[in-house]
Amino acid sequence: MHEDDRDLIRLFESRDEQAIAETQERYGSLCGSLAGRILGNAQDSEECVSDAMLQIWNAIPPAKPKSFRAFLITVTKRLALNRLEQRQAIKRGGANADVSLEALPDVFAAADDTALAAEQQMLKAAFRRFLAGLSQENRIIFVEHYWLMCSVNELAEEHEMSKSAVKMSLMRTRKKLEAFLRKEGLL
Amino acid sequence: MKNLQMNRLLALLPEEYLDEAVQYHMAHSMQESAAEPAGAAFPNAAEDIIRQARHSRNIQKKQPENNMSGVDILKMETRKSKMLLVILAAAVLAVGGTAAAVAYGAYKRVQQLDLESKLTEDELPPDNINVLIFPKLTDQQDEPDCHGYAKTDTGFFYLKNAEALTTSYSTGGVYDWSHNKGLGYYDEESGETVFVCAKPNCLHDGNEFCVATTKNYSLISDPVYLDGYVYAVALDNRELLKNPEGCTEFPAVLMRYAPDGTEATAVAELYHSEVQYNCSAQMIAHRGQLWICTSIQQHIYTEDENLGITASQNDGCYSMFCYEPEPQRLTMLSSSGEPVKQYRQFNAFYDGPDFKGVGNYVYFRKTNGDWRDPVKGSGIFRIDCRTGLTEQVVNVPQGKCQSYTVSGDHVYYIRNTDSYSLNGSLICDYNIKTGETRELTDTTKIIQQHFSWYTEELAKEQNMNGIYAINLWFSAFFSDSEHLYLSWVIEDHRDSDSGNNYDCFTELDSDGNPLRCTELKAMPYPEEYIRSLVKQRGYYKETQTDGSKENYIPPEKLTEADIERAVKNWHPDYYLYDNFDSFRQYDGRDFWLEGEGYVYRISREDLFAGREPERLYQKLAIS
Repeated sequence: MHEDDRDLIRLFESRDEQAIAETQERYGSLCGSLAGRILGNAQDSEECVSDAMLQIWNAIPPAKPKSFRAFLITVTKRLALNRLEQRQAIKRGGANADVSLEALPDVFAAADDTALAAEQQMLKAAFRRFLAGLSQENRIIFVEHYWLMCSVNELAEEHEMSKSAVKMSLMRTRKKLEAFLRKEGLL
Repeated sequence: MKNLQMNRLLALLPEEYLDEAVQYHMAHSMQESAAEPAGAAFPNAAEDIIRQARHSRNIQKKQPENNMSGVDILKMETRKSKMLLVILAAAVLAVGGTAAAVAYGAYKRVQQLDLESKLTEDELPPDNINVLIFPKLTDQQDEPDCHGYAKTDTGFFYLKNAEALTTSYSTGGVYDWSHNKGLGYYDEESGETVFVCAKPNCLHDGNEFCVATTKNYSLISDPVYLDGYVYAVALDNRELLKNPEGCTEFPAVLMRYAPDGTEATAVAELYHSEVQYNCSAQMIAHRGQLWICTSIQQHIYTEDENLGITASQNDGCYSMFCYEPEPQRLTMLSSSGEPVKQYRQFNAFYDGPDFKGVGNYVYFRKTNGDWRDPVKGSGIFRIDCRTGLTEQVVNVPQGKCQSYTVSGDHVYYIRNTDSYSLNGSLICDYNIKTGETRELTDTTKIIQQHFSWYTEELAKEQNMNGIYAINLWFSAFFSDSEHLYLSWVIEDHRDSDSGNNYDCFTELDSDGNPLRCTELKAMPYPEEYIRSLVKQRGYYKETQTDGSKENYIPPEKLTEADIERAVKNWHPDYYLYDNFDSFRQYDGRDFWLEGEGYVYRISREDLFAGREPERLYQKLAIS
């Protein structure tokens, strides 16, 4: 974790309201763009980011995330998806997201279903092994596209690759993932 | 994979990888935002060089795409080179910085090749075409205009997997590599594949005396057969093996093998690095010489004690060489500089330069340009085999040239276009003689001819998680004197719970009009290939889906019955045809394909008639 992020967490832990301002300054743009990709609406995105800041404020302490920014954008994404569902405006061709909320984790909820938790741990371990086996570039492209919802266009520009090359990387990773999960007996 | 499953997995994304992607994404955003404001103050003179070089590149972008003759292009390049020299000299005076010195070094080392005594216009057929893919074609082909296949009179040379050779080292941080290929030979008459090693009683297991598999060298290019020898680019591991932890010598060499397996010799050193890099190389034999491109990339990691990897930086450069077997002379044609730390990753090529030897030229595609790059710009270039000079043939904006093929005086290429949908591309025809470019066809037409439901609007539509409802790729692109051939794949994700992939192959006339299209027939893997996979990996009993380990049968405990059951229950989703990897070459009559572990051949007519290809040999034991 960056030293700066540790400072941020210390600010949250000491209940210093500067924590929110600092977080907004450092990660507001990142969270805003992620929410924007999901909601496709500037005002909603802004509100979503504000909600995320509040959730983080309420969560830390006691939460002690290993990666503050991963924690933050996970919260942002979950809130954006919740908002999207509430808006009931999901339609093809609109926003980028069309996902089932039950598939997303509640980062604050304790897993009270032991079997489910065990299964999730197993899946997570397998997923970690798979990701570790990818080249760094392919891994980053994969996560940026599917998790951060970056478009192929954005990724092509960011990685100095053609759009076709980005698509190809994504498709190959998907195929590898499928083969990996089958091999592991998880699919 | 169904989206629900993908989402479930994504929900479990380990935070270190999310953090890694976020960091990369943020770093790029910051870089972009820093670069955007006009006249933004750069903090130091070295960055000023980058700014000027970028400015120079931008000017180049604005120039008309194809209305210059080769001579004009060369003149323009000369002017640009002079400008660059002035800029660099000023930079050296002002800063004395490493960056400027490196760029100057790269410029200085561009040499002119003297091959006049070797070749004349009349000695070789002007339409002889060589392309690089895998086992190589050479000038030794009997047929003119034959793209050829890497073959001798009796068989093929290729890289053969040797399971015992998997190696992993770690030096100076988080880095490892593995390589397990030796030089193999497939004998057409007997149908057997062997390692190219004649040492008595050799096990071909990576021992240092084995000609084909010695761990002293790791092959990083496909082999090329030329004038009675087989050549390949290799990493010289000898120092690394002596001192795995503290090695500072990582040379890349050109290896020459006697086809009878009696000898392997490093005939030239291509570069010598003090750091271990990700290396790749492509090589083609054309006009009696070897044309080589080495490309290196390094990921520099900074470790964080709490989180593991927290930062990485990419670095890379490439060099092009010509090797003349007769005087055994290596000449560096161009180089983007020494592998030193730079500001941003420089990918001159995506998937290598895609060499094609046509007449007196070796063509290649460069997808990106950079201030370190002595061969300015992006698009399609060619090296004159008689002089070694490189010129730009077609300027295609960065990252937009998907694929190209050369036929006679025509360079056909697929260009992405922003004015159409994200899936849209144009097939263009550049006439080398007249300097004119024709936009032949929008690829939408090609798709629509086969799938009437395909529309531009549909191509733009987004569906699940940012995944486009329709994804389209082009892979192989061939030409002969009359036709163009294009293989493409379309992923149909309009139904969120299931996706369909269609692999297709279209024949077009030389004006880009689609003539006929075939949907490639899915073929399951050959049983013996599946069997070899099962034997190596073991398998999970098919009735179990929870992944529990007690249901896994490791290779050493497999019975014959287990293997047969595994083969019988092999998931049918794995097919031979995969457009990304299948089509490799076209020799004017047959298409050559590479499936998982095998090489296939099918005639043009059989392909369009929907017949299955002929299996020639097992390329790899295990992928």
